[in-house]
Amino acid sequence: MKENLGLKLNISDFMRRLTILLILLIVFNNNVIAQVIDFGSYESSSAIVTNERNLEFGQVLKSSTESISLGSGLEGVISIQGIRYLDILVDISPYPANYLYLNGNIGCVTDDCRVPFSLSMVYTNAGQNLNDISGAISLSSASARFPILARGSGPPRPPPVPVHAGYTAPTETAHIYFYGSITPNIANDSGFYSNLITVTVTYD
Amino acid sequence: MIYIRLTKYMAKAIIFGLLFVGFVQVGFAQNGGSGNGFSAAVSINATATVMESIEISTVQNISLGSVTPGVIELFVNPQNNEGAGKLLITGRPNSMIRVNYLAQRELVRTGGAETLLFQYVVSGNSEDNQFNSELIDVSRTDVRMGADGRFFIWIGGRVNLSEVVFGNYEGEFGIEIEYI
Repeated sequence: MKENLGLKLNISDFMRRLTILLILLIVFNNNVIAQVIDFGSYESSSAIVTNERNLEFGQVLKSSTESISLGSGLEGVISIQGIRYLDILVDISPYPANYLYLNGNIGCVTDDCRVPFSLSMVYTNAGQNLNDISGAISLSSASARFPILARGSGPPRPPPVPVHAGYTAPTETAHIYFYGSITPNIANDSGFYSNLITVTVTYD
Repeated sequence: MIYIRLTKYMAKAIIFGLLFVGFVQVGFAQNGGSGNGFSAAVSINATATVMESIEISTVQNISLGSVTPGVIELFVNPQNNEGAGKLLITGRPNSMIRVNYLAQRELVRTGGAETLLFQYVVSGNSEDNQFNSELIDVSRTDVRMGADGRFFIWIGGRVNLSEVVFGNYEGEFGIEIEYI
């Protein structure tokens, strides 16, 4: 024996309306996915990217190897001062930089006007000062993404304070270090060799 | 109780609709993270100056000449004596170099064991002009290579002959050059 409680629905009409509603949701679903928030998109800020030091090997004799090691204080360095909770994208060009060129002429393709160059890179983003390479992380590709300030372990932190009038977002400085070695050989012409390595920084 | 009866068509429509909404959301979600348009670039210049190895060649040995009896001290002035030894240094033009040498060396008599203590005196010039050369000693060791990548060194010295055993004496002169 069945007992109804007095509520009856015309299921067929209900389902038809539900189908229409779903279609409307599909058509206007931009409003639905607006919940994806990229803080970088809404920050009206920039970053300060500075060449702190070039990578200078100095005078090098032919048929010798000159190295500048990490931690020597002679590495090339750039600093990136930006909003500490944002991720940045770093693009390095040329990558890999295999040569230094006589008078910077990158069109050289022969051994007399280019010196073999081995370049290594690391970054620090734990709030270290310049020349503090403790905890440095290797960069081994032309692009990298990392936060200005490493988030570390533990539970997620509260979301950042929204940007509003009179508010300045907290900043931090990350560094990228460039080091390595060159090996001039007897075929190299004497003179000044260089290669310009460009680092482009964008917020992710 | 509520009885809901779905027709087969309606059930399919609902499932399809839900899936489609889900896919579209994912598709749009991956378009996020486009940045705020900020971009900055900076360059690191990796540089080196490659140069020839520095080389030293002997142009002329020191010649003290003949010593006549009664001479107590013999002095070969590197700045004007033709008997001064001469070295040619070749390297990077206009670069600074440091010259170090042992100021005293023993000369040994050929065929014997007698020795003479020779006190070297050295002068140098970026041009091949002995008379304008300047003394190089502990107070002045750093000099500049010439524009043609050459530097000349003249070697003289003094020796006490008061108790010498006559004969031929030979010895070496050691000099060290480095870029600074």
